[in-house]
Amino acid sequence: MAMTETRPEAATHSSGADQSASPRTQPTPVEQVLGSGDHKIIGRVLIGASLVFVASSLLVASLVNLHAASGNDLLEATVANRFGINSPIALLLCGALPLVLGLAFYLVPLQLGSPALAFPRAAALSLWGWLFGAVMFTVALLAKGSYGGSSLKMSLLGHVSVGLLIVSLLVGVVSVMTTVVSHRPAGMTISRVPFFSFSMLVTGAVWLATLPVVLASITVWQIRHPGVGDLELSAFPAIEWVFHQPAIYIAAIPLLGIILDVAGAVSGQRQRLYTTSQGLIIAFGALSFGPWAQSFESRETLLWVASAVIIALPALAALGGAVETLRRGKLVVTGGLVLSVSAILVLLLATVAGALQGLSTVGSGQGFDLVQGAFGSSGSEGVGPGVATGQFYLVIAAVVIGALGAVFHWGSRLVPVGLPKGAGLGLAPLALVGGLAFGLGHVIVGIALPDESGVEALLSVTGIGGIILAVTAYAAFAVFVAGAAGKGAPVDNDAAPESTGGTLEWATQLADVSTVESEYPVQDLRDSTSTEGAN
Amino acid sequence: MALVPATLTAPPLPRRRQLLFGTTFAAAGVAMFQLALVGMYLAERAGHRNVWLTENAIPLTQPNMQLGSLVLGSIFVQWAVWAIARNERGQAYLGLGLTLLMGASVLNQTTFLWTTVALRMDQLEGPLFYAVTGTNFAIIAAAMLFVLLMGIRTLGGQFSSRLPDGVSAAALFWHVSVVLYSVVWLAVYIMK
Repeated sequence: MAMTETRPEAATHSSGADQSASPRTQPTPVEQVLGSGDHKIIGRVLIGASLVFVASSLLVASLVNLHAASGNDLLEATVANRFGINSPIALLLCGALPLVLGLAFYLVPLQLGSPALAFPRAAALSLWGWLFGAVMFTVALLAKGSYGGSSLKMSLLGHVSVGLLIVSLLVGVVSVMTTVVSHRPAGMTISRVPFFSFSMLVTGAVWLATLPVVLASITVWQIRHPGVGDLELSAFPAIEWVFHQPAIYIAAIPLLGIILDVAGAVSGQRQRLYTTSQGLIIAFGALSFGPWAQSFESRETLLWVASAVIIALPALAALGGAVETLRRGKLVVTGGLVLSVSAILVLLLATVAGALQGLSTVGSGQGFDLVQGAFGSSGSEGVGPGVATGQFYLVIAAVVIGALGAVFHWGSRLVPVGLPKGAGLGLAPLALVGGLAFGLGHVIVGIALPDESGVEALLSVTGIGGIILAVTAYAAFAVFVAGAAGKGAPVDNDAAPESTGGTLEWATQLADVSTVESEYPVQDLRDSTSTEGAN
Repeated sequence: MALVPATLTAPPLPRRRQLLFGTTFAAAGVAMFQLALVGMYLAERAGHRNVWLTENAIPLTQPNMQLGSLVLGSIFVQWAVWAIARNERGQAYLGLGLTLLMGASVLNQTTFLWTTVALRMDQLEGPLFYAVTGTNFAIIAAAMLFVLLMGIRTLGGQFSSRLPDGVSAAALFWHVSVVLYSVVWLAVYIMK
């Protein structure tokens, strides 16, 4: 091999002593955050920002529901309609999806024993692109824009920002998926990857198959130079399928990984039937694939009914597997455990709501009376109550609760001093009650078909539930920020084994491990042998 | 023969096949985007079959030549992969350069085709036609940029038989862009 192929890094390394004469100025904390490719910094910023956005989006959704419950007296009709249409976008793209992506940015390298994400600059681009898109979307929404808005420029700004949000999320998930596939240490096959990381691999695959289809619709409508009416009545309905089953479950796939990891860690027991459990995650992911169910006609097919009913099974089986693991070990009740179990329970309720929608279409096209519901475009109400809207709210609630469970479970890793255990346990009941109320109000309206006063009462329940969940998310954000700022008593990680299970970050801290860095040991051996032979 | 001092620690190589896997995932997303656009085009055309492209004609010369150029590009880029895996740098540069030439010819033919077809944006077919073909144009341009960057890095000595991943990744993305063009060719240009 020629000397000209010596890698430039080696030359730089060898002349490092010469550079010590002019030490580089240390970057400020702001510069460190803005210019960082460190997965911990990127992950923390994304988790924190998406917690704020999801809580704020919950408040907007609650406001719309309280407006409908008050007989349309709370907000102006145009404002209610605009908020009603855009709240699911904000909840999904500004809240739920980036929240699980932020967790993945932070936790996946730790679980795999990797010092970094694959393509760290792409991950940073994902974070800042998403944040810029989320801010643009918020500005457009508040300035009479986005879908249902009256200002054309602001409406187009909201439309474009949704595209930016999707592109940013996709860039980030490619980084996470590549980390899982190519940053595993020797000996860790895919079938041994920790559940959360594995679930993110499945999640990424489903996102890559789903979100570009939404982006395509946004692109076409942007090219058509739409008016405000086109955006509200044509462009938004063209992407509304992503808020319905089966596509809505793309946000919830990581919950299965979280509950399985948490159960193993808090019980100190290894999950039985590990590969089967991974198969459950794959099954849930496959059933979440939804671009084929965009039209109303496709939602009245046997395939749609079957997927709506069957998708509950992997979630139920994952919960059963987690409970079985917990039974075998010494149970330690933590905030992370309670929250992640609560998340799966809320998710199961969402699947029940989905199954009811599916079964109502059996037979001559209408098995039994059931109101689906709709976001916006239903007059001045802002939201049309029904089972489908309730199911969407339940899935979002499950994701928020599950993400909070992950935050508190891995809290001692996420922030320097750890998160107080009491906070997780204290917030868990609030999150569960809020999440249930947020979604079930709509589901009951859709099934029981109550009179007008009953509908208003149930929508009030939804609104109040959303506010409780939002307050829980804000509280979790406050605890998270306080921990990130180093406030509070330090947590000894070694004394909290239940908080460290399922991660291999120690592998990157040991000198004798970190020196074994070559990914081509056989090639190295061959090169060294041929060099000796030549000598 | 030991030209490298024994005390000099070899720098760590990049993670195994990281770029290749990343490219695979990104290409999957790009493919879904393009296929979704083609699906929307077909759905719109099916709904307006009696008026679709009645005012404009799409010639087949350019689309067929584009397909041929892209397939040739696939052969050239795969030649570059073969060559870099054997440290045949000259052949690798030639393969990458010819691939870029094929790509440039495709882009040129696409702009010529747009001029020839002369679809307006206010026509029914206009937005979807330009969305589908424009996206394909952008994908091929991105594939060319990828090939160019990997070619420059190969010139800098970063890729060799020891680490051919960059060239392989660029080739993979090129092949995906060819497959996507063939879908567009069939759906838009042939099945008019």
